[in-house]
Amino acid sequence: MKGKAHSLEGLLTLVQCLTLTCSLVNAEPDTKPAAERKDDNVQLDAAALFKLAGGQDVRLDKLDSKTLFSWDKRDNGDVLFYRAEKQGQSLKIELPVSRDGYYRIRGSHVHGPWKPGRFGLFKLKADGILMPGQQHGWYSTSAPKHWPKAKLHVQQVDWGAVYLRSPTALLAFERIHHTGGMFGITRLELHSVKESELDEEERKRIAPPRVSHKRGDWPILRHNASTSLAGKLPVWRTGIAPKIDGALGDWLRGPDIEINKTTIKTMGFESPAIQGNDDLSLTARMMWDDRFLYFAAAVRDDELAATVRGQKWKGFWEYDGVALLVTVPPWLRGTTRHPQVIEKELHFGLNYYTDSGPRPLPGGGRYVCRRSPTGYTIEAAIPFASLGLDARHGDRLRFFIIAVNRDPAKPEGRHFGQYIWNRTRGEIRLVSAAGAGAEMIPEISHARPGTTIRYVGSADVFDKLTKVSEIQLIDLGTGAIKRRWPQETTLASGKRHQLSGELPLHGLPNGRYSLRAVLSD
Amino acid sequence: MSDLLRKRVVGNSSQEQGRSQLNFWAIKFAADRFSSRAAKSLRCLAIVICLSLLSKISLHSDEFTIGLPADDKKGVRPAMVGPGMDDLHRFHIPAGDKVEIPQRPVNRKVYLETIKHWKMHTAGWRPVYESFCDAGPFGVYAPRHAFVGAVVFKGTGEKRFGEKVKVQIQDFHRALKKQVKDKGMNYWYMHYPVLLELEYRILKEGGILTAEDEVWWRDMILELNRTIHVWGTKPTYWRGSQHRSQGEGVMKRLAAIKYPDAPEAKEWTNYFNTVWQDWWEFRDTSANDTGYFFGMTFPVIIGAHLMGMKEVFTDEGMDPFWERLLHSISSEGAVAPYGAHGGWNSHAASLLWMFELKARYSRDGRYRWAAHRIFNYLLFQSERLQSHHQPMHWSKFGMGLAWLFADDSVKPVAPRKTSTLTWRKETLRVRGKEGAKRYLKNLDPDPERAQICCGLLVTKEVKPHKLVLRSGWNPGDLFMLVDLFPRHDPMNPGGILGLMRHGSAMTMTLTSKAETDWHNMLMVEDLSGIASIRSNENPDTVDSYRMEVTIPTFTDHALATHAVTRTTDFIGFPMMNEREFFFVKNRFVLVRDRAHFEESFLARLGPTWFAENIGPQVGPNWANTFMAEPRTHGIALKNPPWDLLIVHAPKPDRKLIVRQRGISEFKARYTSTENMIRYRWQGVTKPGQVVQFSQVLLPHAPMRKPAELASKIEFIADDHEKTVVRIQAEKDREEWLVLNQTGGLIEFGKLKTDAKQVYVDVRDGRVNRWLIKHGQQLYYNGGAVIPYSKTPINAAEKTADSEGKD
Repeated sequence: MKGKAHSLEGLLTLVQCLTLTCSLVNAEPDTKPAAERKDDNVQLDAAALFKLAGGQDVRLDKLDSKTLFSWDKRDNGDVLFYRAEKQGQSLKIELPVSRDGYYRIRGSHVHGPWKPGRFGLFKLKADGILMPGQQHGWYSTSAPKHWPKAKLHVQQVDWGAVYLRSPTALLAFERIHHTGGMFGITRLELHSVKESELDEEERKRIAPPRVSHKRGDWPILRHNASTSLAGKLPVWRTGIAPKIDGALGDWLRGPDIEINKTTIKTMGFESPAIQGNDDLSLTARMMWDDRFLYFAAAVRDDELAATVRGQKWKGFWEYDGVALLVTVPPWLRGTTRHPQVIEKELHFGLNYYTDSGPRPLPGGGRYVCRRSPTGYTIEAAIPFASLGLDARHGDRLRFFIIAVNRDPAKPEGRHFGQYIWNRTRGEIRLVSAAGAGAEMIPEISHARPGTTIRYVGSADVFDKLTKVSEIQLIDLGTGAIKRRWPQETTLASGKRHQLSGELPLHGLPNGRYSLRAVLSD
Repeated sequence: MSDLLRKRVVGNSSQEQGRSQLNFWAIKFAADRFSSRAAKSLRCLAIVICLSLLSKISLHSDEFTIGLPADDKKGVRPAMVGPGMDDLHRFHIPAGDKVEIPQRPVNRKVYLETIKHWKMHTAGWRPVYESFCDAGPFGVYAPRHAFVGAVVFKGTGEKRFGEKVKVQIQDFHRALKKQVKDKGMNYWYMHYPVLLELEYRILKEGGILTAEDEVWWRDMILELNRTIHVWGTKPTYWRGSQHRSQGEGVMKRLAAIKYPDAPEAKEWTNYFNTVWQDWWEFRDTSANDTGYFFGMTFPVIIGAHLMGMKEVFTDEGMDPFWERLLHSISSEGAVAPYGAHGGWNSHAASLLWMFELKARYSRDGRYRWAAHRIFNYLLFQSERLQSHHQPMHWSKFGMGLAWLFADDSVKPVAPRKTSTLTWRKETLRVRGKEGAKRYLKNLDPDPERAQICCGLLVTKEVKPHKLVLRSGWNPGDLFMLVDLFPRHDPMNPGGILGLMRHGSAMTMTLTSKAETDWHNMLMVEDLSGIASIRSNENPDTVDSYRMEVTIPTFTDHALATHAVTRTTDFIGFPMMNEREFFFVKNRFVLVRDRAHFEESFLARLGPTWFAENIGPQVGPNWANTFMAEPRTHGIALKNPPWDLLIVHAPKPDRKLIVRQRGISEFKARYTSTENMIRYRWQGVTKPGQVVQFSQVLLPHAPMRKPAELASKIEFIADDHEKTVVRIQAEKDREEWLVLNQTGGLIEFGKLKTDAKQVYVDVRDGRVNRWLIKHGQQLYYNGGAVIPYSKTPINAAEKTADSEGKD
């Protein structure tokens, strides 16, 4: 018996009261496994339940006809006793469930006196669903007069029917009254039942999908869901920086960003609909390297408005052009790669210009415009330094592209329009040549030594089937990989994959770390 | 332009991000109420506190540290702030329970006398009766500013007022001509057309207008209609249920009725017949606010009166529209603002005249009764209101209309003193005219016509509007207004818009045309940016996300109201939030949020509370708050001193955050509540996970050390099945609140019950009042309050016979 002193005392009270001869049993009783399965049914005797209830304040006693007034002869006399210290505590037993379906739960339970230190009032929750049955002691310090003195009684309890899910169901027998904390089981049974045999109340009892929220219960990596990549744009890494000259011949790779009458859903307030591809349309591409985010666009515009001539540039909505709005997301802020914590959205107005020269951009960004037969081209290099970010593969940035169309010669109501690419979902992902990228975000900023850390993350797979082959823990002080957790999680292409998990940190020295998901073909 | 882009962004968590990384807190006092020395010392202290906490900045990032942070042993917890509140003015004036908001009988004579004595800023800040006839030209403002003169003329029969009104309107005509000459158009669609018609009728009836006057009046009205470009833009003949379109429709119909021989009369009438249906077919309008809403009702309601459309007041289909307005006012007659508004009680005067007009046609005395409450609250604030031309004008103007419309033969009748759920029609923000095609009939194909006002329209789908939690109609009764509407901004279902006790406002919303989906509600952020946003998939509309609100439980009893609101796709996240209110009348409110997650993401969430002042003490799971002077139009209104204590069920994984959000100077004119409290949880969620927050909102008399009171609110239990709270706020008084949704038998201390909701009020050891719902037994201290019954009791209560209004 590994129970606490006071619980042992409670049991001794029971022992004295019932003049039982109790023998402390080993944690591994010498009984053969008694989980019997017939189809989907499950029957467990006290010894098997004792194993399943390991770690809780339970003990196994052997009772016989001298102490038990009656019991099911199928039981071999073993009784699992549990003592709840206080109201609200429960005996938890996780039973195997072979398939999802309705089950009736029946138990054989010890019926005894109900008073402090004796048998209490217990209800059952099956995977959190409160069952209608209950088990409680009798309202006396001793047995009813017509019973043999001080003898217990084993009675059958129909706890009720409930829909359970494989592979297991958690049964929690909870003490719900302040008086009496003892609970005894000799047998527990799950009987598969047909839905048609149940009444309406029973059919409503459906256990929710089980989720563990306990720390330490999570897997190293869990693939939660796959969602659409709509609004998420891959930005391919380039080994050769494009020449920023407005000539777009060196832009070979990358999906096209299209803004035209068909694709654009979000317009600025009072903006008229795009009249056609000649009125306004553009195709854009992006690339990245260690220092810059590159942007190129070929814009069709049948009316180019006057630009700055010797005056100061006004807001970038005042001219034809494209505005790029970039924000460093919260999980990158304050990292060793983003120490300045630039929270605000940075605006890069790539306005069409003629003789004035380009609009100055923040942070040393630069761009070049060229007149084309149908409009103009833009080529820009936005330094990551302007965002205060040391970018790396897998980073996600919030990103909006807004095309601005100024047409002063057109009829009233069509002088000004703004057309926004992905206003509510705009995001770019810096991807490798393989076309995938992932990040992992720890749940907390400070983890206690020897504990675990949870994380959440996402992997965008734009090109071909990819897998998470390893999770790494990087020591940011040395750059060394301190831990590796090999994985084999396949990620389908064309999706964003939501990931989460929990990593043990035991044996790691204090310091600053980051997580990395290694993606491979 | 930035406003356009400041809409919700996936994972942006923009509500807090960007302004919020500093976990500092600051307390703002009404500095003008301090001695300068005390104010300086407090400001210095606030700075010191801010600086001391700056060193504890906690950022969330993709990196983490193993090891104990320096501040982790104790946690960053704000402690006692301020050297004491001795110098605060509020401790030297009577507290809320000693302040009477006089409830004088109201009739047309009272309205008229009040108007005559209110000041007029356009006439030297002297009373209307003394100054109106000496005033200089009102120019473009004449139709509004001259209106009170027309009222005095009609009320007193003194022709000098009528003559002066005519002169002022002539001046307006000159101003109109100049406007048209200079700009080619006018944009006076909202107030002027109906006011001019009212003034015309008053002057005509009073014999002021000559045949010559009729000629220029006709010229003026036709020019006004022919040159109208609402909002100064070219597109005209607006559509939709909002103020531009309805204003334009009503003005053109009034002109066509008045001058049927005008060449445009037929076109104007046709337009009116079409645009009027944009709201009348639905018996509702779009705005979920206390600002723009009244921009629409002004021309529509007065227009209906002028056009003889009594059905607007009497049609059964209009009942939800009128009822929701009636129930939304506090027992003192205050209007808690929400959405886009002009500050505390900013548009109450609009409700004043609307209610008088409604009562006149429907003969429903409840509306007169409510109008008189509104009027008395305006009088309570009159000194402050008359310190700024805007609130002074609009209040007086509303009184003038109320006088004109009031019918003293309708006897005021108190509305039922129960809590109420109100309903309204769905609002959609469509993608311009293109998006509106699916919803509105007969849209003019001319690209320069039929733009949709505000991009807003209504559908026939009925949605929950507000939850009104009311203790009664006695001035000072505890009152709470909760938003339920899942469409259009401010998008804060479950958000507490107003809370009043003893005439004291305890919170108010930030005036905003955009989403404030974090205001006094569960605020959720996705710190990882990976939650799949439940965005609005309707291609014809532009609202960024779409949610649904249901009310699975709403029951009202003499002692308390119990309500549960359920919001799926909560503010666009893959989650459902269930917000439960246990409103114990004239005592306190238990508010419980249960966030049910459907996906894994790194979430930061917790209920917020916006207050003007936070302090003088806060604790690890509680904070005291109060409002000294709620603002409207840049002025501070009176607020009888009364505090609100907010106590959260303590949880080791939560943190109380107190933050100065910082609002723009513009918004600060209309909003007093820029400081935020949030009890925050952060972690990786999983499908099926439920995160629960329970809090008690306890209004109480101002006190310098509320910590002791906070310690008297004990969360005995707070888990996914039950919340049990014991409150010992007064000597020899113990109150219990139980939410026990499984109906399991629970026993804590002296209380034992299996009821799902329980309120027990024990005084001197005796159970004085109690309420149980859905249970079979209630025992206190071993004695049976409700002995075990085999038949479950649906609801039962006992109200104390000696309690009076408490």
